[in-house]
Amino acid sequence: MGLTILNMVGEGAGKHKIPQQNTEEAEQTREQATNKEQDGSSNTPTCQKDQSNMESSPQIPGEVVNRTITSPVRSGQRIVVPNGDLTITASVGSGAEVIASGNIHVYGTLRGRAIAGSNGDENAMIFCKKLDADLISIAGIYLVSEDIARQKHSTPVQVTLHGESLIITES
Amino acid sequence: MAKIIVITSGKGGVGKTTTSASFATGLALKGYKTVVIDFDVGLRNLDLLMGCERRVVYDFVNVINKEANLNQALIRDKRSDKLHILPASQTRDKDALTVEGVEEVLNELKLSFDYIVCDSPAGIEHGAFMAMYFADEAIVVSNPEISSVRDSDRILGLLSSKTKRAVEGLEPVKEHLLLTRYSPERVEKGEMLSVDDVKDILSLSLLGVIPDSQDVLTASNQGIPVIMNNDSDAALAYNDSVDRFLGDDVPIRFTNTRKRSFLGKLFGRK
Repeated sequence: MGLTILNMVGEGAGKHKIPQQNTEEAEQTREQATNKEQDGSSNTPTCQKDQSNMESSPQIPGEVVNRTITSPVRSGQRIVVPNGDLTITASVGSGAEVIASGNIHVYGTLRGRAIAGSNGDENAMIFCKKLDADLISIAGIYLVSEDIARQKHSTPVQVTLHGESLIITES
Repeated sequence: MAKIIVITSGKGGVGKTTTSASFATGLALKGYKTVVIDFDVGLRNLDLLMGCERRVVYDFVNVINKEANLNQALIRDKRSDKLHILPASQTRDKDALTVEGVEEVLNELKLSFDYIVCDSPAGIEHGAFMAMYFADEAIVVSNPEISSVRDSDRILGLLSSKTKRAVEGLEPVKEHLLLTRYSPERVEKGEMLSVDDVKDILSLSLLGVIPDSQDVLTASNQGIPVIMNNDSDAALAYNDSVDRFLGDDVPIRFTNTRKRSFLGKLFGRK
């Protein structure tokens, strides 16, 4: 697996912090179908995060609840995982928002916004089969579509946070 | 058991009403008792496209408000006795539609029809919501351009979360994609999204591709659903789409550029 590390941070990009997601509020305002979401959460097993990796990451107390979504996330839909990872086995449409306090995995094309590490977890990562996102963010550091589009990725990628910059790695 | 089909898109002007008129006519021509309902209260158009605007006495809102009964408001189509039209009111607004009122009318229609086609207004507000709420199947009409495709994606999200089937946790609404105003020439030049691009973005099964055709406007102005014009590619494409909807395996046509013959060029035939 020849890894090409591409530093995607341009002038000013990634230097701004976006406001931390208030997950309580996000939970209430989201438009996603309650039944679909409930399906997602009730079917997925809960599991503990690897705590050794998490010394510096702020965690809200309580159980880690991961979520798996198996249908496409459509424009205007918003999926929030307040304390856990989010896995989507379909595509995320442009104008959709997927938010998780942990990692985000997309087994399809990521066209919408992906916000990982929404509680400030700098070790959170974003994985997707194809990257064509409106915005990607980890722990408040973000890149917009324009910054991402400078480099075309035809292979699956992973996004990590190194200091103040997001690193997109082809795999 | 009657099936409720909503024709929707989010974006305006993509061909919802044209599709409703042709699709409903197509189902009726195949022998199914079909009623097509105009949900665009305040901006009534379907009656014009069906050529029955001079015969409207009572409308959908009158029936909901119990000012008329269903039989008084239903207009029998001139061309097919299997097809009926329930026009919208032009003088009210969308708030006249209530969940209970619409449900009552649909339940009554279910007793005597095989297919109930709901022509949704544009947007994602109350009118569009009412049109999709009771749907069993949805035909999402989209043009091959990015804004239309994004709006369709939005509507698909609402179909899977805001409809009766979604709210009650029943089997989800069956979604179909109908691509209209498709121009293979422009796709070839890279000016328009291709069928595959749209299918990839929306991850949805394709019901049909309707080629961009001047016959559509002509038919609208004449008040004859374009599907009745047997010489038109658009009509053939609508016919194929109806067949596919009914379960036939028909290949997609009119998605490749046609070589114009020398004579065709000479006489400028389109």
